[in-house]
Formats: sequence, structure tokens, C-alpha cells
Amino acid sequence: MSTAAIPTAARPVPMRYRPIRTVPDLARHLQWAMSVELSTVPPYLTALYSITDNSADAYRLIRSVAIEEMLHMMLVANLLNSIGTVPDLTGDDVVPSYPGYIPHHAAGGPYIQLQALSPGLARSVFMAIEQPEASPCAPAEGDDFQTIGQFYKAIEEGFEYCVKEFGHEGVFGKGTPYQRDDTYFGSGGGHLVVVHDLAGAKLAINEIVEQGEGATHPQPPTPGEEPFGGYEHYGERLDGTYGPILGVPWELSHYRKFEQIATGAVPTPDVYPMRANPSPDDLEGDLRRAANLFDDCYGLTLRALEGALGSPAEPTDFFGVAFPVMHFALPPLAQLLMQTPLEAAADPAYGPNAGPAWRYRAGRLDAILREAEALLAADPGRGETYLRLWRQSLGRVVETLRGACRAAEGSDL
Amino acid sequence: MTVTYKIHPSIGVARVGDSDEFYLAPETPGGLPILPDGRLFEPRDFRDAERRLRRQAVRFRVFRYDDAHPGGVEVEAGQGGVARVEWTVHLANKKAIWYQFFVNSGEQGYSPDHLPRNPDVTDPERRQAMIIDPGPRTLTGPGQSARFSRHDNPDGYPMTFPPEGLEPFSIDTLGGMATDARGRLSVLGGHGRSGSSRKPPVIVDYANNDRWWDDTADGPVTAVLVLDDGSRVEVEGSAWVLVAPPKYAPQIENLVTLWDTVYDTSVRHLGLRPDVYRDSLWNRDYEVGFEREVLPILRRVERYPWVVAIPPHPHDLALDKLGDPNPDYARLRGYYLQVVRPPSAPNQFTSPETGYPQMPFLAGDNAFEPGPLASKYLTVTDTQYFLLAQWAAGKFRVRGDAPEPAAAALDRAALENCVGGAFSPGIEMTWISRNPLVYEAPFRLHRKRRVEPPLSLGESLAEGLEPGDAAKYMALPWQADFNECSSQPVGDRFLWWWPAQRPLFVDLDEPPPRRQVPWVGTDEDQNAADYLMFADDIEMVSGWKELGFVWNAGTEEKPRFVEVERVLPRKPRCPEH
Repeated sequence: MSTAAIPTAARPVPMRYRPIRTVPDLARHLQWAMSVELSTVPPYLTALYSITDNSADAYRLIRSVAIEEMLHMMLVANLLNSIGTVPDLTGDDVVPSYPGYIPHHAAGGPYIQLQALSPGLARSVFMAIEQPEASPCAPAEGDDFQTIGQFYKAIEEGFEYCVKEFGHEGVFGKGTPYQRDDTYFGSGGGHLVVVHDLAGAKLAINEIVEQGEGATHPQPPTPGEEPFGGYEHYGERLDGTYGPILGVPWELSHYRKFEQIATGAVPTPDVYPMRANPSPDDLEGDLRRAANLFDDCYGLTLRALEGALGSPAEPTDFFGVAFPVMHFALPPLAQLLMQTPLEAAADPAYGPNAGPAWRYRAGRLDAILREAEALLAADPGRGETYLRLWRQSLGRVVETLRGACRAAEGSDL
Repeated sequence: MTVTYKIHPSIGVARVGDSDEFYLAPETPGGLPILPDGRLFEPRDFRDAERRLRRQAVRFRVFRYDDAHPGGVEVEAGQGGVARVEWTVHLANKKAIWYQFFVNSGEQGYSPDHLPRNPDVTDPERRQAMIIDPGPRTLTGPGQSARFSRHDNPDGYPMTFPPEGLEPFSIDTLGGMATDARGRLSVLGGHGRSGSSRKPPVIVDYANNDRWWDDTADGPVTAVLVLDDGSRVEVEGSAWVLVAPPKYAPQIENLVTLWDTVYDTSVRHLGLRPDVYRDSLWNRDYEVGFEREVLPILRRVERYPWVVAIPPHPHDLALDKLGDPNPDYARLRGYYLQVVRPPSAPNQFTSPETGYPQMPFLAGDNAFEPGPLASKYLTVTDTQYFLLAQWAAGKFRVRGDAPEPAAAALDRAALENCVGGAFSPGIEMTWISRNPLVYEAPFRLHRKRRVEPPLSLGESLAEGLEPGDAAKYMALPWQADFNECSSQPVGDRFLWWWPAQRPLFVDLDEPPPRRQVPWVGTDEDQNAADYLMFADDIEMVSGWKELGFVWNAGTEEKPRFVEVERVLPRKPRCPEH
């Protein structure tokens, strides 16, 4: 057979890909990107909170991914603000619901459920979310993308096209003053980039794709092949030892981190036996109110983040409210629910137990605090051991919300 | 107030170098060394014209304390009724006859099964002969000098020196001393020469090697003022000099400095700060001065990524927010406090609240011997933790720290440039610095008043320290521990020891992006024996003087630390490419 007979158009052509050609369309895609990033956080955090020992390696891996997903949200927010659009984090079509699919993914992608951590979850859901593109030459894809990396490629090409077509001023001329470079700190890799031009936009997009979804096809680097760009991280090395490593995409990628859990290379620690896709409706009385309190705090976090990433509401919205609630209120509430059997007589070690539903609720901060205080004073009637856990957990929540109330006095949270 | 005189710095630190030339120790925390001719220090000044490593001398001054000068004022020879200052220094090295260093065993007293070094030598006279003791030297006025050398014995003192012909390096001197025109004293240490009387010389242990000697030393610095009328006034506050290995990153401070450790002991046991700690109670109303008591600790965090391979992002702190009393940042401060390992939990790797690895990410006093003395991870001192906790709780002021008197600032600078932990054994001084019994006043070691030769084989802290008693615990030769104390496997992690003194990874002085390479070894194979250290400790006995220094080629606010003045050739990476 002659070579001429081999079809040359072997490149898969997405059927419905329409390249980004206008700045509003670019904004629309970035807002979708925001939804995509946001949709990954609740399932990752649910798996994280389900781990009973927070010093476990799996805990460390998943947390680093969840934190970096939040970095990606902040990067997308900066990209949006750079072209004059404030991000929406609370709209009906933005807040994800579970179980469900990745927004705008062709064929939906993996079916995302809220579940306790298991190797199966890591493989079939988390690795699928972070699925790298088939090759570095995979084409850009917009709505109905196959991999998140290809979706960001469409956005990057959109930026390039728009800057070429409408000029720097036409794209970045109406940028808002709300970009942040200070809301990402602590552990986790990458940097928060403030975007004022095409180079900045590309840098921000590269931060996102390199860390996780990976425009780079992940594979172990050959020793000596990687440029010694600097030791950026501390983690598992090629030879299996743990120490300083190069910041290469493969070792640090989200895909690789979940793969380590999926294969058992990092053992799955003990988890709370949470039912899949929990709902406040699973519970009655004070317990249901506690489940709703979690959703209240989640809604509050989203509103505060929306304020922090799209308005002059600094530093209260982020440092006074969003950060404390994320760090000091959501985890104890989620873990309280995960230790609450659906049936009063069931052993919490076997469950099935309740869990966080991650449904958006629009309660105001002062009302949420009053509800938390009322719950702290209540006895849900599950016995003394449970009551101690209840009070310890809600005590931390009340303390956090009180601090947030002090900080947010006069704001519209 | 009666008039008293004290020497500052109360504990001064000289450092070895193979050159005869020297510079003066930095007199500010994290500051550059000082050149005797007043010129600004440059990278090339670390070495002499033959590229030998210059020694670091330490400069002592006498301060007068009276009603008009409660913080002290410097006394200068030829002024204010003081005709001249007579200085006496007595250095010795007692390492060869003291107990073996075995992590923190000994801090609470030595057990009967704890062997001394050179245990086969039991005859007291033979053991005393293993002390390096050149005897005291006195300078009676400005512009004089003396050597602590076996070839220079003005008073016929019964000197003891190791046998001649040690290998690889023999030891003939512990250094010297000189006075300047103003009556200040500079003390110089040895040349970093270490050797063994056994042939061939072999190093078998990180801290204890029999028939080995090195030329580090320590001892008291005393002074007498001779007034214009000929009367003599003894300076009441005597000082101490420690001769230590070089500090290869002079502008980078350890998270826990020796000043922090001695300060903690002074606060908790010597009543130095009753407003902070009194009658076993911490004053929870104490208002911390952010700039003096917290900010330096945070800045140290930010500089570690220049001397060790750790992720820079978590070490990049939002200092403007952390020093802002705005209640919005209360939780941010609390978040960082949770990252700090409490002194009560030296075996705790992760925070029980958050699961985060706790800081400092450094090995502790006893990182490798299990049992009741295990202390795997370094912690900040109790006082440091208290100050951080007060700050996290919002009890701090941003400004308004009274300026520190010059005399106290000299004490602080000398010790802030030293290692305050982990004491395994450490670089300049070990856990004996935590023992309140070794001090006669805060920051001032208790000097034994009448020292007669031969120096004692034991010690009585009640009587005070003799020459050689402050540093006799340290590794023998120091190069063995200096080589090995690079990274330490603890559990499934590698921890570091003293990256600010002994860097692990350094940046090459190249245009960006940063390229960080192992300070000692080759960077090709992370598991090679010569990756972060020389494959054999004995290579460090000569190799230390060829290693590079870490230099801030950027600014104070935006530093860029790069390796300078390395003499040792760095093996090319990937020779096949």
C-alpha cells in the first residue's frame, strides 16, 4: 500500500468547536472555567474531610490538589477582571450540584459524586477529572471539551486572537481594579499572577494547566533530561524516596497525585463511612439543621470569595470571612456530619453516616451565627459521646463565625 | 548607681580560616563581616590574595555603666581618665578529654555508661596532656599582639599541645589576639587545622574520634582598666570567646539563633524579663513588639529557601498583613501559629489540628535515638513560642520599640549569627547554653576566677567555667559533624540541620531562572554518597576551606542569594551531554 493512501487528517476534529472571536465570548468561556474549577472543589474536599487521620499522606496529597484548585479559581478571577468582567461564584448556573458532570465537558466527563475517599474514587472520578490530553498537540476545545487542558488552550487562543484583532486596549483596556495577588499563601505550589497583558494571561493559564489538568502529557522525566530549573518542591522522587524534587509537571500534577492513591502507592487511610451524595434531607431535627449550617457556611464562603475576587471589599471578605470559614468552620462541620449515623442506633464506625451536601444557601452571616449558637446550645439526642463531639465541633464553628462577624461588621454579608 | 564596667559582646564568636589574614565578625544580626580598614565588605574579601579563607576575628570593647549611661557607653583608651586597657585571653580546647557527644544524653547529667573520648587513656596526667592549652596571654596597651602558639610562651606557662606531626594537619596554635589604637581587642581563632596522631588518620564517627584534635577553642576574655593616676580597675563583666567553624551564609539567620536560646534561658531562669515571665507564670497581657520580637523570626523564614531545597511559595509570607493589627488578619496570624511546632511537642511532625507539617522543618536535638530522650524535630524556644502566640492573639504593637543600647546590640548580634538548635551538637555551642548554671548574668558565662594549670579534667559549674569548658562538647574534629549534618532521614522525610551555617543547596550566580545546586556535592544523583556531603568525612577536613559562601546579590527587601568564592571545582553535570 502506498503511503499516499494513509489519510493525512488523522487529527480528531471536534464537531462543535467554535473558536473564541470576541471579548464577551472570552469572558463567557472564562466564567465557564470558573464553574469548572469550582465544581472540582467540593468532591475533593469531601474526600479530604472523610480521612480520619489528617497526618496521612493521602490527606496531604488531596489537600494540595484542593488548595491548588482554589488557586486556579483565583487565577481565572484575575483573568476575568483583566478583561473587565467580575467573576460570578453564586449564580444558579455556576454553583455545581452533585451528583453531576463537569460543566461544559463533552459527554459530561466523569460522573462526579460526593464520596468518602477510596482508590476507586481516585481512579474513576478524580483521575478522570484531571485527565491529561492525549498528546501535546491535542487541539483546543471550547464548549464540549474533552480535557480541561484543551479547554484552556481554547481560552489561550482566544486571548491571542482577541489581542491581535482588537489590540491590547480592546482586550485589557477595561480591566477592573479587583485582581488579587495576596489571597494565595501557605502550602501548595504555583503563584497568583496579576494579568495586564497577553503575556500575563498566558502565564496565568500556564500556571493552571501545568499544575493539574496538564497540557503537558504527564510522564516521568528521564534523569538528567529535565532542566535544573530549581528545586520547587518536596515530595516523592523518581526513585521512590522522599525529598527535594524538581518542579516537573509529572511529579506535581494532580493526575499523578490521584494516581498514587488509586494504585495504592499511597495507602488509603481510614475514612468515615459517609453515604454517597449526602443531603440534609437524610436527617431530622437538630441534625438536619447542622447539615444546613454546613451549606450556609459554604454559601457564605462563595459570597465572600465573590466579594474578594470582584469588588473592593478587601481585606474583610477574604481574610476576615472566606479564609477563616474555609479553614476553621467547614472542616469541623463536615467531619461532625461524617460521624453522624443516618440511623440513630447505628454504629458511627460503620455508618452509613451523613455528610456535607455542598448546596448553596443564601443565609446572612449574622443569621448563620445565631443558628450556630442555637445548635451549640442544643442536644441532638444522640447520647453523651456524640454530644461531646457536637459541642467541640460547633464550638469551633461558633468561634470562627463570631470572628467573621466582628470583621464583617457593616458589610453586606 | 555605682559605676561598673563590662566587656561586650559578652560572648563573641571567632571563626577559623586557613589564611593568616582576617576580617572582623559582623556586629549586626545577619550583617556582613567588617573589614579592619573600614572598606565595605565584598565577596572577594572572604578570601585572601592566595584564595585562602580568611579567619573571622571578634572585636571586644569595654563599656562603662553609670547613672548617665544605664545602657552603657564605650570606654576608650586615652579618654575619660582611662589611660589604657589591659586585656587577657585564655583559650583552650578540651574536646579530647571530655565525654563523648551522644545527642542530648548528658544534658541532665552523664550516666555511668557514658564514655569519655579517648577512653583507653586513663592516666590523669596523660589525659591532661591531651588538652590544648597555650595558657593565658595579656596585652598591656594599644597596638600590641600575641599568639596562642606552642612556639610563643612569654611566661613559661606549662603549655600542653597535641603531639607534633598530626595528619593530615598538625596543630601549633589556637590563634592570637591584638589591640587597636582605641584599646579594643580582637581575638583570632585557629586555622581550621585538624589532625590525628594515628596513621593513617581515619574518621569513624560524626562527633567522637579518638586521637584527633582540632584547633577550635574557647575561653574567657578579661580586662583591667589602668586609669590616668595609675590605679587599676578590674572590669567586672568578663566576656567569653568561642572559636567556631565558618558561617557560610553570613546574611541568613537561623530560625532559632543562639541569642534566642540564651535569651529563653535568661527569661525563664535568670529573671531577665519579669514583665514576660515571672514566678513560673507567662504574662498573657504582655504586648509584643512586632518589629523587634516577631518580624525577625518571620524574615528568617523567608530566607531559608536560598540555602536549602524547599518550596519558596509557602515561605513567602505576607509580612505587611502579618504586622497589621486589623482584626481581619487575626485568623491569618492564627494559621501561621498552627504551623509552628510547639516546644512541648518535639516529636510531633504534623499539626494535630491541620495535618500540616510543622516548622521548623529541621532535625531536633535527638533525631535518631528512640526512647525517652527522643527529640526528633527542632522547635522554637519557649519564649519565641510565647511571643508568637501573643502576637497571634493580637497582643502586639507595631511601633514603639525603644532602641536597643549599643552594648546589648553587640551581645545580640554576636549570638544571633549562631545556631540556637538543634544541639546535635550544633555549630558554635551546644545544649550547655540552655543550662542556667553556666551563667553569672544573662548572656554572660560564669567564669572560674582562679584558673591554675593544669586545666581540670572535670568541671564544677558552681565554681565556673575554665578555658575550653564552653565548647568541649562539640564534634571532634568539627569537620566530621559539619560534613554529615546535611540532611537527616527522620521517618520517611529528609530534614535539614543548620542550612544558614552550612548550606545544603545554593543558587548559582547566573541570570534567571534560578538554578539551585548542592552546596557540597554533585547534583546528578540524589542518592550518591557525595550528593549533599563529601563521601568521607575526612574530605571535609581539607575541603571546608574550598567551599563557597552565600552572598546577597539583591537588596535587603528583594534578596537574591548566590554562591560566591567557591574554590572547589564543581563536577559538571551530565558529562556525557
